[in-house]
Amino acid sequence: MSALLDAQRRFAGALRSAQGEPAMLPLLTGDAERNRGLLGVYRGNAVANANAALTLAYPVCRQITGDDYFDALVRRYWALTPSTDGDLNRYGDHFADFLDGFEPVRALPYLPDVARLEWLVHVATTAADTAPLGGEAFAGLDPDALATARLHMTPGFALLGSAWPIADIWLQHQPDAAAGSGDAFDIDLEQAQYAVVWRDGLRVRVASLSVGAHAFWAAIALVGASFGDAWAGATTHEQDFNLAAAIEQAIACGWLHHIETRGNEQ
Amino acid sequence: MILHPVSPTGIGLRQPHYARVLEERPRIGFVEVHSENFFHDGGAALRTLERARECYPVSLHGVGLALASVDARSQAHVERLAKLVERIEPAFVSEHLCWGAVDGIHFNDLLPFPYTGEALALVAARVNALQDRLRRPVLIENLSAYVQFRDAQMTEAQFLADLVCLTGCGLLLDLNNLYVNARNFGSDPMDALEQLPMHAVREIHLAGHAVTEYGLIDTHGSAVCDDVWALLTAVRRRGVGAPALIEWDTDLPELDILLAEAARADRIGADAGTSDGDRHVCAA
Repeated sequence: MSALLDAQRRFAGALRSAQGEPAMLPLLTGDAERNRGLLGVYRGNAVANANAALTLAYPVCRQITGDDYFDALVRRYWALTPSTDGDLNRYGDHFADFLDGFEPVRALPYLPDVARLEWLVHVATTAADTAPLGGEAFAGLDPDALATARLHMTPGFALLGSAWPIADIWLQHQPDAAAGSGDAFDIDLEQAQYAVVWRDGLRVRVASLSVGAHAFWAAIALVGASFGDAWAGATTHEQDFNLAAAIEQAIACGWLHHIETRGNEQ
Repeated sequence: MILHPVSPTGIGLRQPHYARVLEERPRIGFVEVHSENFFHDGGAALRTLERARECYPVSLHGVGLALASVDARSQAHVERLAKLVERIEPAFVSEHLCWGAVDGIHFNDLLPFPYTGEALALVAARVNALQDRLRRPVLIENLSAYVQFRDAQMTEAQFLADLVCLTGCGLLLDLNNLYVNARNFGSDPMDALEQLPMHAVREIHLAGHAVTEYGLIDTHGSAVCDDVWALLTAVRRRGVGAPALIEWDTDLPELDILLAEAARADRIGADAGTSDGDRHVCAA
């Protein structure tokens, strides 16, 4: 094996755990005790860098758990799922799955879904800037063309269903949230919620959707269903599903990127 | 003695200062950012960098390529950097002389390695490939390292001198790193300056460090110390006109503090003057 690769593997072992130090120390010059301390400094840096990345991606989770508990979660997550990319902004995409399986988090059963929502927000933050479609795009479409049309959403648009009121939890933990509501934790925790994430210019927004609206947009955005099929599906989930209101919201919020009609895109 | 002008000092542009820098547009030579924080398709951060680019030359300083990693898997990273370089048209593109990933794990840190012939061949090939892809020279920065390897066949400065000869890359001379290493390993920072090819220096980093029980740690969290300022004077006297940069990442102070540090670096450049002495010739 290459001597350089061998050195890097030994170094990596000492970074992953203090148990890796004995294999690394003979490669180094100078006092072994001091080198042990310095390897500890490197080990601390690696965890601190992972912590900074997860703190950036999961600020609401950090608020909910408190700093010390979040730091402990990061150490455990990093031990199980270290970074694989030179860009730390990509680190943490499996954090919600980790929380799902982490017994001590059971006391905060909504935390994994809050983490899922935060990752969607994190991804939307850096999604491509696009000009959303205006209402006039629908003007020239006859009903038949509309029924078979496929709508395409703007980059960053995402949906998440949860057994918990994740949109409300997220919104109440935003820096500008408390002003209106008074009580920051005035949330019915028993309420399931469908969250929608989207880019409003350079800002990322989160809101909750009705079950019908969620079914409609999920069919369009995730399944690639036609407008007509998505509408039909939505009414089976919500008898009173208001299609006009859903389209109005999509246009007002800038969710739509373009409409694909048979043999034609606009 | 032929006097060369010293390029004006820049500052590291960090998020808490975005608004003030864009509004007030202080007189600085350039701004530097960490490349990876802009590997995006869009969004507010990238927009800010594009606005900064309208007022200043930009330096893209990478922290994630980990050039000396034997097991790098970094092609996607190089492509993201190439896309950003195309978008921003930076004045400098730089990376560190370090490794960071092995067996699929990335430590996202700047880690030292033994300076051997094997490592030199690897890093030279990586730098050449990077320069070919970006179609421009890159700058490689000397590292602050807290441990040293028994296997080393040369000093870091000799390694960098050879790397410059093998690849034509430039040097990003970090004087704080040079100082931290010299103090931690009991050597004279002037020796490293002697071994480094001054003609290849395209940018100079200035930063603060922390004093700990394990020695000096490169934290970028305080003012530049007097000994490092003295090193800048020494470098200027050797005819290096490359611009300096005030690098501050942790415990970020008010923008005015950074600007005052930058002004001090400018004064040292003006006072010392520069000559075109100290040309370095590559060994055969």
